[in-house]
Amino acid sequence: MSHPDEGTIQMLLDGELDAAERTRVERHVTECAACAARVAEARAFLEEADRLVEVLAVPQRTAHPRVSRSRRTLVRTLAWAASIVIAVGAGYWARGSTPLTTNTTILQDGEAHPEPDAAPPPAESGARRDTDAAAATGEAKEVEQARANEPAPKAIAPSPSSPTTTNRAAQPEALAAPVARAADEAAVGRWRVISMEEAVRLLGGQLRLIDGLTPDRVETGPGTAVAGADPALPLVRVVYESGAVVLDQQRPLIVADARQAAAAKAVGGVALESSATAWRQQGAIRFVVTGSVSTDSLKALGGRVR
Amino acid sequence: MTTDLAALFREHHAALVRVLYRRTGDHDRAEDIAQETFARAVAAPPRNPRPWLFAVALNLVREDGRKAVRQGRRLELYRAESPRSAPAADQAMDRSDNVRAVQDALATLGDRDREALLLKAEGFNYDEIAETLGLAKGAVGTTLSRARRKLVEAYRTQGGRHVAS
Repeated sequence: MSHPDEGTIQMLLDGELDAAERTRVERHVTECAACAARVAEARAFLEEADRLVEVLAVPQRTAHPRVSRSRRTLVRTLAWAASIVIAVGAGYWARGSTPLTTNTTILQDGEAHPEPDAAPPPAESGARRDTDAAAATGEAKEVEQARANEPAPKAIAPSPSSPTTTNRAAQPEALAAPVARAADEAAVGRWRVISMEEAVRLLGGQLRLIDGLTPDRVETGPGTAVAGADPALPLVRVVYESGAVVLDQQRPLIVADARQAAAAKAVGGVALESSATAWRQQGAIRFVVTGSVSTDSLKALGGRVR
Repeated sequence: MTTDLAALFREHHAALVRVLYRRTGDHDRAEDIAQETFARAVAAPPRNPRPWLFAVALNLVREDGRKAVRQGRRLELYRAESPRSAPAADQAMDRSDNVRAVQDALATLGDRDREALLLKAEGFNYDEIAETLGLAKGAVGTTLSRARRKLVEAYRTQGGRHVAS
């Protein structure tokens, strides 16, 4: 027979030749030194290529898959330092006979990482739970990353204009905080500041964030607060850049599908007085990015939601 | 999710994520695209699921890549407006030099060659590879031959560079 071509040699090595063809090619190879060398070389490439592809094992999910040891140490140090600040701040606060806001628990929990078991969704199939567990772990990592990117004391800020606990400690005159806080709550209206962990729970184990931006705070509000949202479901809002950009998100009860995403897109969404992009579906989460920046920027930011 | 789709998920999800991770080098993106692929399977259950799932997923990777290029221009607009944005997370933090060398080598292959190789590693036969990638069965052997040779040669070059650097 004539010399087999490269494709036929691959078929021989991959067991894709039928019996008759295989016998013919093998007989030729035993008689033709050049083809024997070609087969040997192809086999070497095949085996090494297989070995190389196997190197690319999917990373195991852990609580801190991408946070380096040094970074975790930094987070711990910040959390520890912040807990001291809280203790001192609590002293000032107690003198004013006013209880601490619940938001301070974010900092106290700074060391407590959002574990994947935070919120497995209820009453769904096993396969669905698998997805969410994987997603929850991924989101937990993102939460941790966001936290690692941010100086810990900032995380406790209940709202942009109210003093942080750090400020309370450093500036005793901030004991007038209860008044400021009440004003903030009135301004925020139906929105309530919550911890990342609570947001993850509200969204059934996931929380979307804008890659590359550090969240100022996370809030929750009713679904009726934002156009295009499901009014029956709570909204989670991640606030960036002092409110110049917000990421609103919900977890629909029904499994995501393309038609639903298309329907959501048709509804659109407007929350602030400025521009908004359409609602989008990513995994189990629907979200919309709104803000006082250009539509192009909002679209770009929407593309960075992870 | 019906029982069939649940079974589909159990049977193919891990392999799909593995191929997508190897294809993109990004675990989160791999998980997201796998989820989107199964969401589409819910909307329109496929008759021949394995080639269908992988074909849809690999198409999403290519579409996602084109989108990323377009978004690059928009991001420049955003950066001009918001100089305070934080730097992107360091994606390569925990990757070993060897993994990076293999990923770099794989990235030198054309889409079809790379995908044929990754599907073969998942145990696809030539018929399935041909159906998934829209190739003639007769072209699969030469595609794999080229892909394997190029991967190994690129790795030897890339690997040497990584070790040296």
